[in-house]
Amino acid sequence: MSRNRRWIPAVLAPVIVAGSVLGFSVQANASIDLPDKSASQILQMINTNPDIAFSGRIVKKASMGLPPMNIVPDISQSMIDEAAKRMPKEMSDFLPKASAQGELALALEFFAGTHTANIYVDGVDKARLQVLDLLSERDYIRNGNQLWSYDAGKSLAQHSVVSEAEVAQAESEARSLFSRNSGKLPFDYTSPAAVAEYVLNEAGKYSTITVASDAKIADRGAYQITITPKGSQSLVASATLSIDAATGLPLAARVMAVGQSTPAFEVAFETITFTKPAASNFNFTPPAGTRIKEVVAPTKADILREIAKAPKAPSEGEARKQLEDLAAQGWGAVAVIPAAQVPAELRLLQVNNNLYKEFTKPVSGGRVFTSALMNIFFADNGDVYAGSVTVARLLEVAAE
Amino acid sequence: MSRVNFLQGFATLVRSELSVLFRRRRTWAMLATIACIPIFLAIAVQLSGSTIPPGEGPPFLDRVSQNGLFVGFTAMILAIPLFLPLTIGVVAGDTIAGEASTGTLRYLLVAPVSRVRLLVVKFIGASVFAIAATATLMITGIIVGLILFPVGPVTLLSGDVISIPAALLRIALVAAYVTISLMGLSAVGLFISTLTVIPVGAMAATVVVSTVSQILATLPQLEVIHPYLLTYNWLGFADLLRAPMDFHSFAMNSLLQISYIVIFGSAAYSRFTTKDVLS
Repeated sequence: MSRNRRWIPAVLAPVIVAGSVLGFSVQANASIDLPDKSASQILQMINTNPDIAFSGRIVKKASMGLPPMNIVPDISQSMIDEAAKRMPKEMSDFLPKASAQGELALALEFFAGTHTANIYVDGVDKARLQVLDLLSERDYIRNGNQLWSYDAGKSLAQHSVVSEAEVAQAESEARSLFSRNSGKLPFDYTSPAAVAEYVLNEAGKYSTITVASDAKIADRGAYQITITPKGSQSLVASATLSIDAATGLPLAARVMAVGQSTPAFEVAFETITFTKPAASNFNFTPPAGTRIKEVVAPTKADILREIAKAPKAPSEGEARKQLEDLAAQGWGAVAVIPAAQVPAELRLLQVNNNLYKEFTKPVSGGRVFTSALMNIFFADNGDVYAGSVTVARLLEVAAE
Repeated sequence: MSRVNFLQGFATLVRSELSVLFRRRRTWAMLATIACIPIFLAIAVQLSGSTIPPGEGPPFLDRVSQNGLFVGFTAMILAIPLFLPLTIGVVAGDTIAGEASTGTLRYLLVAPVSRVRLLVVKFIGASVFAIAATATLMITGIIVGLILFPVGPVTLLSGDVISIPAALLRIALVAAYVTISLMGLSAVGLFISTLTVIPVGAMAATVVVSTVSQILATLPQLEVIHPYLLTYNWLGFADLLRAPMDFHSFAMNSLLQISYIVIFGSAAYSRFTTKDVLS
């Protein structure tokens, strides 16, 4: 063999490996052609029967264009300060800029990065979400009237019992409310086609709804509908929903932001099987050594009391008017929260949390928080303006 | 040469390679160092006395004092970023360059041994060392755990509790997972070793590859290439500690490591078979 020919494997091997990776992804995303359906027919297909069993793996990817910063979840400010004391000054760049704990950390996590979870569903009252963290795991399990959440990293389990009587009562109240008012509905609710047509007509006022090309998701054929906002004020470029052709279960949702080529938010099944998951998936017994926190599910009375405590709860009429105003603005809608109605917790956050300063930048008359899908303007007078619109539009609304 | 003779000759070569590898004091010193990781970890936890609050220190550390079987898992998490790649770097980096530097490579090739076979034998040697390294760590972990701590049914990440034999099976699977990861690095080391006659250079370069790969994985700007990095799935063995057992990362990691073995194995072949062996 000549010397030159001996170099062939070194060149070929990477090509073959790259080729098979590419071939695999092409096959996974291979185009697929399902029998044509109209947008209305696809909407009617969406599964509304809760008595369905499946299990699968979900991947969530968010690329919200948040300011790059190192937030370490679940580190308290005091821990950061302590670390700062011990570290040489030159290394201060490596310190987390801000702390995020509890619900705030959870919210930030949801809107950043990639997460993988397994989901198991068996009918209405058995479900489990298993969030696969690196070297750790979080589980959220419902088995009948038992609710469990388990965090392996913190070795903490939370338990709650759903009161079946309360659920049944709420359901029957909702049903009677619906049957009393169903006559006022602008469509015939007994006909799925009529409902779909109504939704399409209403949405069509502000958006273009198109049937996108059929897709292969989690190795299954799926119909896709894409909603594109009309007008140029929105930050949303388009939103796409993918629906399994065989079962009508939504398999993926994707939101594209203006000026961004990767989806701002995407959640999709990577694998799915429509078989009944093993019962062991829903059985949870807290392991020895776990801290157990009993969480009492709020009763109707509790909820009413909480609502009454809200600052200056708007009356039904006011609320309806606000909602209608919002709807009339379409995708350019801006929600305005007058200073008096801003919750005290948020106020506090603005005063003494570094996170707020890191996440917002000053503009004339206040500070703005910007992300790929949502902008928020915190005016100096305390009013808050939020919407999926450009900063210019927010400031315009604030100036009115 | 008949087929039987070929196989016999190959087996003899492998045997002699392994006996040279495991007669070296350096090999035993490295295995002893690896064994020290779970030992020191367990002693430190034992001496500290106080129970570590959950969520502090390396993952699983808080479980060690409650169940000795966690010593091996925690030691594995500590060892995989640096200690294990370091030992693999020494063994794989030395394969060809070591023979070249001591002048034995010429003699090896004068005997009717094809260069391809020599490469394969060297890779097998490095892989056997990888198995020995992960087994040493896990078995020492189990023994130390048995001596210092109570041992009982093991709590998985999902909160389910499994029996001791089932836990031992998972420990073996974790060791297999890490061994496969180290075999990918061995192939890189083997290739680097064909580039030079200075073994220390090849050893250092191999460790640098694993370290650089881990650093690249922390840069969010390079997210696109992350899934193709050698070390991308190295910590994914935790998926074996879930219920139901999740083999997804096991399969993905194996595919990734095999790709690295194919690419760097071929590169090593091309380089080594065209090289002028002068020493």
